[in-house]
Amino acid sequence: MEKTLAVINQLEQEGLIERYAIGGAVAATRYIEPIQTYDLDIFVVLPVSPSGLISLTPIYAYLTQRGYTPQGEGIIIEDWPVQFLPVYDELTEEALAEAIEVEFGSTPTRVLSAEHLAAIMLKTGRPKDHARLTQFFEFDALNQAILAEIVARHGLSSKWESFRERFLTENG
Amino acid sequence: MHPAYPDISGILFAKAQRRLALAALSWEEKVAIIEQMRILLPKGSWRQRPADKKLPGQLHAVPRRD
Repeated sequence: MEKTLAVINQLEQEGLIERYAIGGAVAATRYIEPIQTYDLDIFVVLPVSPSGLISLTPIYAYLTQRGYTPQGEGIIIEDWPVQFLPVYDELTEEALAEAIEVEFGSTPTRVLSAEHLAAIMLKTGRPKDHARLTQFFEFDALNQAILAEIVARHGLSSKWESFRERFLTENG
Repeated sequence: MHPAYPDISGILFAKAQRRLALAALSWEEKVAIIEQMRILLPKGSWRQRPADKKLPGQLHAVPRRD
């Protein structure tokens, strides 16, 4: 995956993306046990074109010129299927802005914080999100005070109460 | 008379310990495990198992007895 990240760093250096951070299962794996996944989810802020449009086309054009192959909803970069996900709401925009600077091997990269990942899972709310979120608590991976602030700031309190009642209480 | 079920608490304890040990690995080590999983079970490969193949008009791959 380190080679994949080096290519994505190149995209950022060349201005095809303004900022990126790793999300999804690969990011979650930083905080809990390894999770089976086939994709590397990359949250991105894309430059706005002069016409005001945001498009992934320049990224795909750059990558295909370098021999990488689009597949399904993503593109294979150095053996990893990568999905570029433009930030799609205030929560993901904040998550990307506050992503943590880390190194993977010797390659610099960014990863979403555990608390932002948890809030995104709470908001998305699929069964696999709930299962994964439960693991974050099981492995004590969260600062609950920070999570509570994010939950309140993004109007997720009722989802949080519902999740807590169902998965984190003795009677749930 | 109830059958004598085996005590599997030792197995469950060992599994829990293993999960903790996996979670404590470095991110790079954990991603290497994910990469191994992808090699061992490529996406969609479970659908290609002979036992999962359905005949035309068949609702379930393996005939059910219910």
